[in-house]
Amino acid sequence: MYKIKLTKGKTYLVTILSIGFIVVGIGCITWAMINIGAQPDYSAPYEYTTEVANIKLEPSPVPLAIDIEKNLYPVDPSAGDNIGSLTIPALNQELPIIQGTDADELKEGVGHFIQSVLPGEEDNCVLSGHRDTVFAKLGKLKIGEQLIVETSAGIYTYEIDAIRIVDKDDKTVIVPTDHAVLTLSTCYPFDFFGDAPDRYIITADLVINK
Amino acid sequence: MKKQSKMRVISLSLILFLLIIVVVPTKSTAAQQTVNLGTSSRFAVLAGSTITNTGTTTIDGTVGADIGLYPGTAFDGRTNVTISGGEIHMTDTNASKAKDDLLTAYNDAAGRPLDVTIAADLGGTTLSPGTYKSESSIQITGTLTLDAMGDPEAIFIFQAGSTLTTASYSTINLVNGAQFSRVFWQVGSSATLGTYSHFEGHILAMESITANTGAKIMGQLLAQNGAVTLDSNSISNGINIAIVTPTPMIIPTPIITPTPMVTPTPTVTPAVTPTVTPTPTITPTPTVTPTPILVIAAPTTAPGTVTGGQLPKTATPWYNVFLAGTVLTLVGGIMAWSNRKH
Repeated sequence: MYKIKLTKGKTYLVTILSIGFIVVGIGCITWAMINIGAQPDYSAPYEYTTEVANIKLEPSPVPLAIDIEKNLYPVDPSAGDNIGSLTIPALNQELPIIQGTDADELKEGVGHFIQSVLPGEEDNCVLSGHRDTVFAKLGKLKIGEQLIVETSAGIYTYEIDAIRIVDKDDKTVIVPTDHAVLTLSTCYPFDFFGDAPDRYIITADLVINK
Repeated sequence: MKKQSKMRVISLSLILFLLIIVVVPTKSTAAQQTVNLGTSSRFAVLAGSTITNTGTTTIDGTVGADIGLYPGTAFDGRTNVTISGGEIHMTDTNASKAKDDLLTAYNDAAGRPLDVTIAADLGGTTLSPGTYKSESSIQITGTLTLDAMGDPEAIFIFQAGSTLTTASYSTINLVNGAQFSRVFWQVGSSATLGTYSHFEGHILAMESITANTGAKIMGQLLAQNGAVTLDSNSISNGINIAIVTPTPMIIPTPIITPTPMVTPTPTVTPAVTPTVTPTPTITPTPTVTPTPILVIAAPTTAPGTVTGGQLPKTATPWYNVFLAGTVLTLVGGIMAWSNRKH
């Protein structure tokens, strides 16, 4: 008699546990899916359409031929400041650029790696973004496509000249360059579960500054 | 029945195992936290009583090349100090706040649980990341090698009960990703750096710090109560980016004399006596006119892009949460199914 009661109790406990797991599990899935899908609408119609069209008519000059000032920004932005926007015409995206690449800044948009120069300056400007939010479609970009950065210093158009995948600890990406380069980085593979082991790197040369 | 409970145990273990490896993949490798220097991180030199310089000393740094003094007021030989990327804070609120933050950092460093008790002289040894303590003094003669074993985040903390002394021409060699910005020297009394020695790390001394002729410092000289004495030095306070050379065969460095029985020493609780009474006799002397020899450049965060910067982490936890949710749902389903079957 006692044994039967105990068995019933155990069965009841297992039922409750399994239902609990399923509820929590489905909750986690829903929560994750909402967050993965809940990106701000970055595909706002950007105002550069005609401007970009005009720009494309011009032949791309040699990157080094552009006369760029070394220091375009009189005041250094602080971490968390919005320093401008990155427009990717091929993806119809306009993304805010935030100073800093910590979790708080990457939550707000594309992060500017503080130990790199600011956009438009002569050297390597590094921007990073989440692979599942702002840079989710970065894999669709091709060599030759344009990236337009607008900041307080002006509008800078870069042309993608290389796309590569490197290890997350690669130390050859964030390095100084002898001309103005824009480097975009995000985690790779794009839909990897867990900590992605690689980084997707796009480098672009400055072709037009206004 | 037995089979069922066995299955339940397996299911539960499976969930726990998967949750651990999926949700907290980085926690398992969580290393020691760095010592938070607060506002004192901007100071290449910070002293309590006086700062004295002889010869030409250069100070720079990407984090900040400030010089601070509080509550003392005497900075002798400042005309021969060239600062780039910093400024002088003489007995002002910035220096006062930095001193407070230094005390907090000092206590933090002093309170870290030690891993290994070290011999008095570290010259000729190679140490892996961790907290090292000497009840009395620490001496460096020759070369001390700090091996981060490929982890640029690795932290080295040295606790010296009394003094830290480096011999003339001694060197600290950082290898396998070790960074001077992650090396901390908590010194119970005073530190002395030998002539033409090469030093790496932040010195947090309770009393004074003396850098003898030609000593080169990558880091900071922070003295809580006493003086900082400089002589033809070069001080660079910044964040260096470690270049981890791919060493496929990292030989585990033998840790020196692991004495397991260490009597817990009462940490040096620095009783900061409230003698910081603002000395009213020091009326603002108008002689502190900006000396023309002093070069003070505007602080900049990035004069150029660094070489070998660490690529930022650009992953959100949502894919991990999704995976954990799937595993939980599956396990719950299996449990319900097996339960119903029985």
